[in-house]
Amino acid sequence: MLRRCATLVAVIVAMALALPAALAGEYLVTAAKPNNLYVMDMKAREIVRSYTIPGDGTAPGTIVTSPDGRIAYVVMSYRRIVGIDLMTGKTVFETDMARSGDERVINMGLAVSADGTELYSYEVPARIGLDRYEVLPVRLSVYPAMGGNFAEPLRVFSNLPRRIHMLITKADGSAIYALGWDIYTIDPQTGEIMDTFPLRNWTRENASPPDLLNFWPMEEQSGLFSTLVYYQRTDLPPDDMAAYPTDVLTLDVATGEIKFTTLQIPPQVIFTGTVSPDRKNLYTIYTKLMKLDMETGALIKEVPVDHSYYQVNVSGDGKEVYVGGTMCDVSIYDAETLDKLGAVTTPGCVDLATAAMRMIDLDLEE
Amino acid sequence: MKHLRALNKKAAALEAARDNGGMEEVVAMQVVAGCTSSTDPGWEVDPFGSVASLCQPMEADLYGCTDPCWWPAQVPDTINTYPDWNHDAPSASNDWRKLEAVYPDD
Repeated sequence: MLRRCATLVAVIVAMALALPAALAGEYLVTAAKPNNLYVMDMKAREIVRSYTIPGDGTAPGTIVTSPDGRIAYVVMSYRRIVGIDLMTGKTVFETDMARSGDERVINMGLAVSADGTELYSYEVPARIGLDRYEVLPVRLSVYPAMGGNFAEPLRVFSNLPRRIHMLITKADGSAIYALGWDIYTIDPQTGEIMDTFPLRNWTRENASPPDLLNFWPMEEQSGLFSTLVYYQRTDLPPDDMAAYPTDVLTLDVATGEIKFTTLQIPPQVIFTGTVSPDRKNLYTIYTKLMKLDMETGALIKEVPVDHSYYQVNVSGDGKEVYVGGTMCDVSIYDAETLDKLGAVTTPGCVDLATAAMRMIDLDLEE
Repeated sequence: MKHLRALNKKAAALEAARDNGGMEEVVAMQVVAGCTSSTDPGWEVDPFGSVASLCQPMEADLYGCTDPCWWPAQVPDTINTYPDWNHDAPSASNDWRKLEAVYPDD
């Protein structure tokens, strides 16, 4: 009898331990048209939370999460920022960024402070008249992260350059990195530009000014923000394919160190590249999935994918690669072999379009 | 410009601004505040003058390009004037028949 009781207790304890283990862990946060926000358990291949993003807008885009993974801030149709508690679905933050009724404001960069208390928003306002648009200075607005339904900025800085399209918070909270024609290091308290890393204005020998586009943040797994950089070598004839190299630029969010690695691949279009947690590999995505060596830039493997995708992310254990954006699936690939392992599809096959995919650690049963 | 003639007051004001040295006051907009201010031609060819590097299939890229006004000539302005154009067609590949042409209200 004693043994049976002990066995029963052991089973109950095992079940109690097993239940939270299935819910506390790593999740992928993404969104889909017109206003759906999802929390996906990628190892279980299922959506575990689904919320409706309130208010106007049919195009969820940039997603940034609080350091504890609990709040997801979503940019809706470039015009609104909505913060949603992933545990409860409650809206904890909302703004249309307009400072007056005739302003129309586009968000082109969003980041959360390192301590999770503030939200940084790079805003491009225009005054809408009856017969004209009036361009207004761009601004960096700092909002309280739990600002409620009509969040007002705590600080507004109007000294930043135009053409910024990505904000990244330094790990210790002392700076914001802004990706534009160059990479600017900004003091989040004063708005002062403390440093400028030349990008469009680089002086690299035998190289044209670089071209890049990125509005899919994904630095959470490796601590490296990464983006593809395209340029032309001016020391080679223009009909030589070697004249069109592709680099990956990495920005270490802990130290601010910026590095370039030239990829050993023919010229081609790639949408995004994400670094593995051990920083040894780069995974890139567009019409095919590639795995490259971060040290040498060598191509390790490439596989065709079912359709084009915009973004790639990777599991915290480095074993799975997730590709998403565009259509209605987040597809799962083995990080070693690039074999397709499965997919999580949105209900009704609604399109992910430009929505970002972010990895979080969260205990949903807390 | 010598072959162009202002036909209305606004066009005349533009000419006057040019003649009075006001052209430098014009500031290029960084991003769209209306799809008409976007100049990306979109859709037809890839950077290599071909189609092999375009999104595949086209439906995979329809909303990814529509919503940021990448294809201003081909689809309505969903940031400003027709924000709900694709609201009832959230799956481009399944719902494309629901996507209608748009016309001004007035």
